[in-house]
Amino acid sequence: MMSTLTLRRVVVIGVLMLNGFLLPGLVLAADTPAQSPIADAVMETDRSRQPDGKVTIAVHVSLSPKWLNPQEVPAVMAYEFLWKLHDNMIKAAPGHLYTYALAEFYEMRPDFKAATVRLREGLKFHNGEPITAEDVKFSYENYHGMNAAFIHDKTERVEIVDSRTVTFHFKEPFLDFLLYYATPASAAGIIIPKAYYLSLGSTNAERDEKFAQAPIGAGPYKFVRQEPGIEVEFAAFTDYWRKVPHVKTVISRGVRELPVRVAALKSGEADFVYFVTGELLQSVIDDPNLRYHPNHSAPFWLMFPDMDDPKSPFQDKRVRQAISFALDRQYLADQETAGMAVPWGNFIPPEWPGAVQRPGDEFNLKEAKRLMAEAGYAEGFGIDWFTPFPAAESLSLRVMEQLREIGIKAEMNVMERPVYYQKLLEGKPESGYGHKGFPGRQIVMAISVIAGDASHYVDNWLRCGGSYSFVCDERIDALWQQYQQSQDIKVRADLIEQAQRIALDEYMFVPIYINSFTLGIGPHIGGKPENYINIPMSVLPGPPEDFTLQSAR
Amino acid sequence: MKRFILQRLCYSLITLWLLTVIVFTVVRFTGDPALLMSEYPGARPEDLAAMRQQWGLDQPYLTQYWKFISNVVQGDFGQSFQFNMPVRDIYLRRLPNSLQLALAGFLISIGLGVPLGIVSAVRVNTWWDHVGKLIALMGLSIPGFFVALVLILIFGVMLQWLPILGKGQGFQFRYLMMPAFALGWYFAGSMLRLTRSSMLEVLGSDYVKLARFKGTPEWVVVAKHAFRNAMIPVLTLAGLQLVLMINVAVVVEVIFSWPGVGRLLMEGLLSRDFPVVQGVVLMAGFMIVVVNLGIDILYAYVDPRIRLSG
Repeated sequence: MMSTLTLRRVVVIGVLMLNGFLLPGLVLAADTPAQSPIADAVMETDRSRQPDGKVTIAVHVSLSPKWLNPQEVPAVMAYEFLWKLHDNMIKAAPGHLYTYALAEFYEMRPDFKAATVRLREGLKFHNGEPITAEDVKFSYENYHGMNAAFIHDKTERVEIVDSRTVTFHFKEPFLDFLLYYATPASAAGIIIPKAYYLSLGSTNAERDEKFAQAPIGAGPYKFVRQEPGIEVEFAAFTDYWRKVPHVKTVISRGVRELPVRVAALKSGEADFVYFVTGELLQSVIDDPNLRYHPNHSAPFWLMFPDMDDPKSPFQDKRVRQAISFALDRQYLADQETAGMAVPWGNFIPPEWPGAVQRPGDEFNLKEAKRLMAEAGYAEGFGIDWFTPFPAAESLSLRVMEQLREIGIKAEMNVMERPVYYQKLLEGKPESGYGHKGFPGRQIVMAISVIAGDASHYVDNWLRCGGSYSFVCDERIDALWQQYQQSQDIKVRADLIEQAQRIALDEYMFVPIYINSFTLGIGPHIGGKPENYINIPMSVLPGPPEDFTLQSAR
Repeated sequence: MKRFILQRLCYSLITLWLLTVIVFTVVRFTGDPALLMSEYPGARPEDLAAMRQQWGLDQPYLTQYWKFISNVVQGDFGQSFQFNMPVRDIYLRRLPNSLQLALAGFLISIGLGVPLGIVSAVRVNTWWDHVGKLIALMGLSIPGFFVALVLILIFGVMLQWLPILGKGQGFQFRYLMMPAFALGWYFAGSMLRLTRSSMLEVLGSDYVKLARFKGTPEWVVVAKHAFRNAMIPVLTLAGLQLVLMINVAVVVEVIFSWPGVGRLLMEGLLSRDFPVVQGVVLMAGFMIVVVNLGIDILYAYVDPRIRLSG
């Protein structure tokens, strides 16, 4: 039996190797926004399989019936249901950011003002109705969820070319169309049955309510029943175009309490458990009957709301750099995530197209102290607050401990998630320095998962006036202006990269590590953990039609 | 008597109205539900604005309150932000599950608390009494969530005798056992103490002494003379506790993923689903107000001094 320390080293090395294998592949996806190739789907022609057994997934949040309706998708977590019940024209699949799904063809016109998609032949919804171009057009035009206004503003009209082909015409070049159509940035590319949806009522509000109670899709699993907020049961759709699912029944259950999720994993009541963390993570690691996957999500990073204030110590790049060197990222990863988190040097997740790949600074306390002294703060200084990202108080305490080593002292300012988000929105003052939501001298921790690519992070977090930006830098803003005006994919990618490098080289943000959204896996699940955590930009196990069991249950 | 009832009714209505104002106001201090449900940061301002408009949160507070109160008097608590269903429908769907759990917890609290309380009183100052008092103390001081987690660890994980999550399909007693015990445990403690003190008081009364002097067997003294009189305050408490159990089983329901109204309230609070929180709190308040009103009227009927002084 391995000692805990040896096992931890193996896990860390394994994670690094996995990233070593994964990142080159991801470089293809992370290379140039909107230019990633679309892979062919891996299909199975053998349709003789009889799905069998049951898989139960314990989800770490409350389930919402809204997640069953792609027309009003509010959040990325909705894909817990959407990827079981529904299907996209093009979507992410294991190892590929874009894969043909319901579509067999996609073409963007060279001027980026029109995009054409064509359905495969013979596709059906769960109710047996064929999927046609009418459904594709309607699903796009009627979509009213996340980013709906944005994509509709760019769209001039949607043309039905033939029964399987649709062309989207744009008012202006829409270089990022595929990013919005084929990733969780929007669900406009998820196809619903138009006739059925319209039969549910006379307004979208009525239809949404009824659709969420009796949804019909084209995905690998059909809806069976739900207890709103508690659980949803799905049954295998044996006519799914890609393959016949292995598992007959999949149940998603909302189990907020971590100890109960882990208990359910150990007792066999749950087969997949999301977000195993803290001390209970070690109990899963130590249990020989269970498996796990680090399932990396996004990086935590530190921000300095008043770094534009000439009187603030954070205005000095050397102080911010000292903070970066003072962080022992590997230690933090070991303590918080049993070594599964990956020390990182960018605030954008590495899988995101256009994200700069950059390891975290090596821990160097001596250099950190030298920089602080050079900046005139040899004895350090006190600040008003350290504001953690909600629910990351444990990590924050450790970070504060490490900052005390270079003399930076603070008290923790704990707040609930909606309050934190509210404060992020308050923005910079019209005149003066700092941030209205996080006034005074403080350090704020953040983590962000924005569906899309690196440009979305630059837009929201780096440019002056971005929704949650603490930064006002003329160079970054100039790059952003050029990006918006450019119609050259490579030039745009380069501009976004430059913006990131400015922010990171000048330590406007200090990334910590890529968090581990550890997935716990029970003994009944077949295959290897890495088989299920291989979809770019997703922390959800899948694809669900690939779930297998060790033995039928 | 009519005047008394009318007076109590008015007080009840005023209490309920104040509750609507308080819950409406307080819940809006907790933050913006659009930010939470969109897993912000990530949503565009126009998406957030569309959500707020859909939920009526872009209206002035007085307009929102007027709409809320007008609907409440018609039994409509609005549409849940998270579930996109009428709150009334979700509540009525979850209520039978809470009733089931509360009834089971109630039976456990009675089944544990009353017999132990009687034994403790009859065998006062013996080791029976000390054990009874210890159990009462543990019941009142050990939190329900701790009891729940210990039960899960022992019976769910180590022994794997009982399921941990949910209530199963239909009625399945196995799913009910652990959450019912975790819920009833606390109330058993208070039931035990009240039964004990009530029995001690009755056992010390003159008519019980007379019964003993007459040579009545002790078990008849306890069962026939003492028990029935001692149960009056116990039953009053039991009635109130049953209503409480329906509405305060939040922790137990969350831990066991029991699909009841307590868990619904927690889900509403965590996602800032204002209609759900308002609806559940108002229904809980309504139940408690109605039960109290009923008890007041009953007492006034039984004891004329109460209605004359009221």
